[in-house]
Amino acid sequence: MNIRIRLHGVFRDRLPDFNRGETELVFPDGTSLKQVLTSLDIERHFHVALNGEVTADYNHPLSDGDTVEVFRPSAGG
Amino acid sequence: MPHGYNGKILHVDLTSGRLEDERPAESFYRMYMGGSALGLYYVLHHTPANTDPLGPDNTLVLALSGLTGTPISGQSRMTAVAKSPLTGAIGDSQCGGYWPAEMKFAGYDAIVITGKSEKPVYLWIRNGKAELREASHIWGKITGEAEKLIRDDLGDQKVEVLQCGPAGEKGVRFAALINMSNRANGRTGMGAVMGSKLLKAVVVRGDKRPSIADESKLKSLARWGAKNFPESDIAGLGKYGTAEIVGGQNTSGGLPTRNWESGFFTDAVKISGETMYDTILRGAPDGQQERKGRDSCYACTVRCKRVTDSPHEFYPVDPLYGGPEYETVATFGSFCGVSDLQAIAYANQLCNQYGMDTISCGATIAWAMDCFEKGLISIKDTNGIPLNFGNADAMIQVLEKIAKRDGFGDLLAEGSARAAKKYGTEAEKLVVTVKNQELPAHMPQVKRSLGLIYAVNPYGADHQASEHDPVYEGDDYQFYKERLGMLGLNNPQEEYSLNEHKIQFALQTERLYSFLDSINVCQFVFGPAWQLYGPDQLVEVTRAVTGWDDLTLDELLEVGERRINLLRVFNAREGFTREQDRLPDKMWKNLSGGTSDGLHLDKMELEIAKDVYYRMSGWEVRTGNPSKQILSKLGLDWVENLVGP
Repeated sequence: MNIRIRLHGVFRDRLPDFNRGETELVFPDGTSLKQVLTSLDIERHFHVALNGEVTADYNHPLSDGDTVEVFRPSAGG
Repeated sequence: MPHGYNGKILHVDLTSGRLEDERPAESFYRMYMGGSALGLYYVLHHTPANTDPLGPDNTLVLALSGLTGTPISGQSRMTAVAKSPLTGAIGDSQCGGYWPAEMKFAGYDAIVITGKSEKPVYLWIRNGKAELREASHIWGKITGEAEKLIRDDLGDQKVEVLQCGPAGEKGVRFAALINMSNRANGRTGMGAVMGSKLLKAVVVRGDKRPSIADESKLKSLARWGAKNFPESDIAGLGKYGTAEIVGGQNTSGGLPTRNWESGFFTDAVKISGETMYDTILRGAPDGQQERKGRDSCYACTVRCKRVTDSPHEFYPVDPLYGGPEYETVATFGSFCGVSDLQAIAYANQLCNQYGMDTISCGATIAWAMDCFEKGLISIKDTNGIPLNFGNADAMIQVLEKIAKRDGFGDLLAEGSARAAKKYGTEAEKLVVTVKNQELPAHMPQVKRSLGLIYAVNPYGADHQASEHDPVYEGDDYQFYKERLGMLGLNNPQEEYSLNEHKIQFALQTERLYSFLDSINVCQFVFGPAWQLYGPDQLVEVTRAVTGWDDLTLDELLEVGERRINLLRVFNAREGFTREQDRLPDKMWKNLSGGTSDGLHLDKMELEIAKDVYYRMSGWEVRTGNPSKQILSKLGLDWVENLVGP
């Protein structure tokens, strides 16, 4: 299944520069959110939105065409 | 004298032209540490009650600390304290850059400025010697030009210049102090205070490095920071700047949009730190952003400052004026519905050139846009400028008018709360301020404890006065429980909560942040959670520099608490009570769109939270004022009679 990935801030560097933080990756059916994050080496200080909704249900199995967005929780600046 | 400090305070009376040195005892430095707390001591001693903030009796203090100028990241900061012309309450603002370190090298720990000069002057301090110099030929110049004139005047291109820009000279109520032409004591109008005194600049240069009690220990802490920075939670700040958080804020529904109508901006990606990195950051065209597009403060490994360089027919951006932070891309971007990053960077440049707080300026324009769209302000009022959301040209035109106090800009230069009085109740309901200071770009609807802190903070809504909720909610907490545990914070809560545990979180982190503003360190480098160094290391750094080996975290928190109480005492003397600790009308209304669609705060919840907060602080619940007992406990008996019965 195809999963759209959007990585913000420093997480962008998990992908090649030319992607500029966005790409589409192929995963086996039934892959969970957690497995996608692990494949991208994302383990701490992150929040995730699935199809635009922030979620903490990392065991949730994904569906073809889902968008996974990863960002850092924010403080001042 | 403890290590780290110069042991000298400079008193400047601009009315008489007298300059005097004071040499406080070590006990004084230990009690107040520096920065905001030390500044408040002098403001309370020298500023009469109910003084005109733009009059000669307002005392302006520029204060460092023992850590300033030492070789570790995050220490080159200065706090400016005075009565604020924007809020009428205490004003308090920090800056970074190289000026703070250079002031330490020049031989003073603080400068206490009273009176008003007969004609424009600048204060020049070199290696412990200070003098006032003629500045009429510099008055009216934008910051980059003034800096050059001063350096040529003194024949030294390496002097560091802190100045008020033309906006401060004209009394724009949210005028900032600017150093390096791109670093700011942004909030609460400290630039207007300096301008009202006909003091154009404070210029410093020195050779005296601060003594350090345990150099080897400090070196090892500095090396630890440099080694751990690449894998730390602030590594992204270095590469993409503070605007790195735009995407996350937006996805969480926490990016204020169109004057706080929504927390979601459709074009957020266009104004993000990543887009800045790819397009207008210096070096972007040839992939040299890392080398050319980042700048730093003295001795700091993070290098989070932006340098933008982008020719453009209408909005050319000059690297001298730096580049926009998160707050700036929000207030001139999503707040105004503008997605043109070039225009936003130009707005940032104008604020740095004229010396204005980008937060209050952008937010005031956003308020005016909201009124214009709702027909409360007419095209005649705006001098023919169609001030619609999304109109970047209009935004820039109005910004220039504000800086020059020209036409409609003269009204907006008063800030949105004062400006709204001209247009009536419906316009006042659209104002998003606390104590007349515009809210920054972090939404209490999404981070609930911020709502309490915004309301109670003595110098108006401020996002750097406490830690933000996400670290004390959900899964994030596990990464920070050791550091937060040092503050006794062991009860993480649910998202959107504002219960007693959250209030305790708000209060304890407020005390730590208050200490950070007194020891004058960067809140990205030192803090209670995601920062490079945690609370235990903050103690180690302070001990290593000062030689106060018996220093504890509790003592640091007490200094923070002392400072908060002094802020509160100043305000009580000016007539402020819990009544002014309130949030604007928009907080009670549903947000529209995005993840935060439908979210709003609850008035009763805030009032109850205030009761709990005041009680935890040892204050009178009815008034919100510090009790005599708590003032005595903090060694502040000398202010007791200022609080009233």
